[in-house]
Amino acid sequence: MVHVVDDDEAMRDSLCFLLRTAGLAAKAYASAEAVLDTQFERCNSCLLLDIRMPGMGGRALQAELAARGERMPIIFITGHGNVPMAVEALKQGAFDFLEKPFEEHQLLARVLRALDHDAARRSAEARHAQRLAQLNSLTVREREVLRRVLQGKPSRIIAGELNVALKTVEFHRARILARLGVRSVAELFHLFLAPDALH
Amino acid sequence: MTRRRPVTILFLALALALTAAVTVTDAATGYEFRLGALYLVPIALATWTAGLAAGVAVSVVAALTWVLSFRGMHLYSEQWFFYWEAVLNIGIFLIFAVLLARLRDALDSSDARFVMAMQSLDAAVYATDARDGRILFANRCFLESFPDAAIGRDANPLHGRFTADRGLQEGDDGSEVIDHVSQRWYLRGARDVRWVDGTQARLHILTDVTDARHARVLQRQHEETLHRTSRAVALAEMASSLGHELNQPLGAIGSYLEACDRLLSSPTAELAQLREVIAKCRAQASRSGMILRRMREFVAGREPVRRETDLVGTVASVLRLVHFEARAIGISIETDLDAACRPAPFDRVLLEQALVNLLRNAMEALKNAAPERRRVCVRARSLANAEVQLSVEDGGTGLAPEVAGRLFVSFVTTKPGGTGLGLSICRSIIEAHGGRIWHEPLADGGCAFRFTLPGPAR
Repeated sequence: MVHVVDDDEAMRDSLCFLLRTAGLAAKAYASAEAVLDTQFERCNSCLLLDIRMPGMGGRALQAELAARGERMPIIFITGHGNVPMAVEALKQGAFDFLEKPFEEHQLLARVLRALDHDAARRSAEARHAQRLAQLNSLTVREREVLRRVLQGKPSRIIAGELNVALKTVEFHRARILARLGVRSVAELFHLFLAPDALH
Repeated sequence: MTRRRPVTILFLALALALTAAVTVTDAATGYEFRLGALYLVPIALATWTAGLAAGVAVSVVAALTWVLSFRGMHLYSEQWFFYWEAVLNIGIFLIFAVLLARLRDALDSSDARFVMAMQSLDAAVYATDARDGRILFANRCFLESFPDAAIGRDANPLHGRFTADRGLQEGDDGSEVIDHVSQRWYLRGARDVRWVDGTQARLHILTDVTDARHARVLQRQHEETLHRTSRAVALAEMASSLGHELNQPLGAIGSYLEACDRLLSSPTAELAQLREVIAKCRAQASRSGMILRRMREFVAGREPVRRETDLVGTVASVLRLVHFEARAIGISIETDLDAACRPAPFDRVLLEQALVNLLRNAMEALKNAAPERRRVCVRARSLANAEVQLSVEDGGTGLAPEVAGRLFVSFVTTKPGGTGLGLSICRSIIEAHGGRIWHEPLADGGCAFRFTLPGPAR
């Protein structure tokens, strides 16, 4: 889904039309305020945003969406002479910008890239959420064991530290592997290569 | 003013001789024929030339010789009556001498004040003898500014050094003149005065106005730059807002067409949908047209207001406008205006604008020219068909062929910072008057811009 925000009706309409002929879903908004009133659907999407609009401008909308935790990629459309503004927007995390007048195929290419980017982001976020849920299903003692396994400590040492029998540690390890859906400790490490997974 | 001593002594001796002469004559003519008042002549001479002391001395001598010559000759019944008369005489002589000395002092100090005032002036002041032009007096500033002139010499060679400002007659009074030797500008004033010694003299005052003139030129240049900059800024703003406005419909048309292209290449293209999109494109195209028309109405110059306008007067006022600029870069502007050009219905303001643009271009072309080629000529001729032809010719190196072809195209400029609008504005103005404008290379390598204007209505 591409959200097109432009105060000029013809611009809005033609962009939506073009996106639809390219096989993409498009939704038009006449102002930044209208975007904020909308509840976005949970699907791959990006925002095609005119940087200069009466009322709330493109930059202000970008800041407001960021504050709300909306991480949808934003492609800014700028007129001639607003390039410094667009660069500033990029620094604030915008995905890309297009200077008017632009080539239509260029627009489509960037929109597709933004959608891919969003899809990748969404699947990464989904994986992350899943992992969190799995971690939450572990008991307190299992998490203590997991932390030490990830620190590379052999079972014998862990048993000593936790003051339990070696057999018990082995038992916890097996349960951890089963709960997190991995077959080996190596796979376990791979799962936690992404930082901050344990926090 | 100090006087030389031998002269003083000479006058003193003359006074004493006169006293003796009066005494002898008075004695010879007898007591009844009184000549005593004549003593006032030598007393005056001595007091005026040698001061109060000399005057008193001559008074005493005169009174004594009078007493000596008439002591036995008087007609009074009592001797002391005669002495009383002598006392009265010497009293009168002394009072006369004192008054005269005072008068002398007053005149001297007034002279001294005058000289001091002249010396302390920042202006060069000198006085010349009205008959032979000798310099009678010159102040410090004058001697510093014109060291080759000297008091007592003829001042005429000095006058040859000055040239009056263009447009003004080289008169004496109130004109600004340039000194060729020092290249400085002076405001010249003069008036007739009676000099200290009574001769008829002319007092000249030359005030150095070089810095003031320089400041004036800078001020004008500054105003001109400001004006040009604000014009360039306004133009840039207009172009930018026009661009922004046009981007919308053009961008929309582009997107619609791209979409059409995609529709056409898909097997399920619907004719109705294509028609709809094409109609939208058309609407956006006409929207672009509206934007352009609105912009044009907004910036359009006014229609020419035609009034009977004196062409020669118009040229003169334009020359006044560019006069300072021209002189600042050492360009002389000549005119060759046909007196047969009669007033015709022009818009004076627009015509001036066109002429100023052409003159500025001409001067621009001379920026790097040799000094002897730095001249611009404005010609006006009355043509056989009653049209008037005006030309601005410069002594530059002419136009490059690649420039010549695109001269009147807007936004094409050879000058850094130029708008590329000057000549295209000229052409609009001339064509609005029903004339035409073109350029010609000159035989000496320069370039002429000529335009015609319809003549007076018959």
